[in-house]
Amino acid sequence: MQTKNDRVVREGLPDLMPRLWRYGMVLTRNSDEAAELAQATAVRALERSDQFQPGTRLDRWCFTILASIWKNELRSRSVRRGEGLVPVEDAGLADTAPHADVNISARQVLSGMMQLPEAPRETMFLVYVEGYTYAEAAERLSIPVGTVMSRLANARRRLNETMGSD
Amino acid sequence: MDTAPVTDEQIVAFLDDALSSEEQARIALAVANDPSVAARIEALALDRDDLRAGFEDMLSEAPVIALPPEPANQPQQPSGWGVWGLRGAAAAAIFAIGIGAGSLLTPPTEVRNDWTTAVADYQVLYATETLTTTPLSDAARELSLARTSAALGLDLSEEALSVDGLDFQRAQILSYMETPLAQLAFLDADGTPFALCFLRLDGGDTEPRTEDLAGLASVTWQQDGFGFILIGGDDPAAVEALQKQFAGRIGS
Repeated sequence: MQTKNDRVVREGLPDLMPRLWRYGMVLTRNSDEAAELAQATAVRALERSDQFQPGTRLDRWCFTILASIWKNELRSRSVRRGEGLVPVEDAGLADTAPHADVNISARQVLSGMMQLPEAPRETMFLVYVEGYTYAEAAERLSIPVGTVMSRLANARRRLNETMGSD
Repeated sequence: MDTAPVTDEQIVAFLDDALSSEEQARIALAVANDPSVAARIEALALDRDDLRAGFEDMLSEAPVIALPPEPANQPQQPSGWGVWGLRGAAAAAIFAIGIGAGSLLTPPTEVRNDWTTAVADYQVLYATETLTTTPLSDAARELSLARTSAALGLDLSEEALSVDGLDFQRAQILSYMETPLAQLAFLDADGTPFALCFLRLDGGDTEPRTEDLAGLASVTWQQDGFGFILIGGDDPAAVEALQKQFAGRIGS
């Protein structure tokens, strides 16, 4: 039986897929794995649509599912295969067709961030790209707000060191 | 007054405007009075606009990812939604993309009559929120149109799409039977979603044909080697009037 929730989730998913893939890229650094992760998230979201609370944010709900699938199911497999740990240049992102509307420093900061370890990389992405507040990121990542702050500070320091040494 | 040393974490939170106003003021004072704090600010600087721009651009690289088709045997509903269950497989073909680099400019070998049905089954899922919850920046919208135009080989500018009564939202490349299919999404003044879709189609120009597809008003026509459909809302006269505007601009 199709419920109202199922419809809300199904209708919202097509537009969310690029953002789910992008979050997948941040976690996996591999386009195929990111696509697999986004697809698994969509399947899981539809299976569990009765748990989605209408009026809350579908994107955040799906992000939580995606991170859970990554951490509990796919990450160990990727590490075993030695995949998902390549620099962004090798992931086919940096050398895609040139985009006149994206400046060089935007490419550099993206590339630099993608080379950070997973924890600061994901924290930066959630706060600076997807707009989580510190408290929201802390809740999403199940860590104290102070840890969010120290991850951001460490990430920014390392990013400046990396970019300064280029 | 708290005179504890300023930590890097506090500096970052200060730069992110994430502290209480009292704390913001304390760090601002430290920045003004202590050159070493100012130097650390530099070491922790981040151009968030650059970061966002880089990630915004990444969205346009996202592959089209198949969604699971609607389960069969859904109970019929009075709205247009019910048709999705019956034609789920046809509509799912739109998601299950198979654009190989070589196929991008290859015209289909035969006229396919049911691509408009697949478009209608897809369009019926669109709500106002589909287009308003994740709006594109101006640059991303223009880029989406440029890429879609290039993929289909039909040069379209935002100016050509600025018809009276519709606001252009974004362009996407979909696929029907492994043929690239452009979807240009619009909202009217009431927030009703409309789409102008087209693919390469053999055959000469045809007169516009108005019909109800999946409960939506639509006009289908063929022009300059492309098949077009304009679809949205439930008022055939409104869609016909919009179609005339588009046809004139595409042909010019």
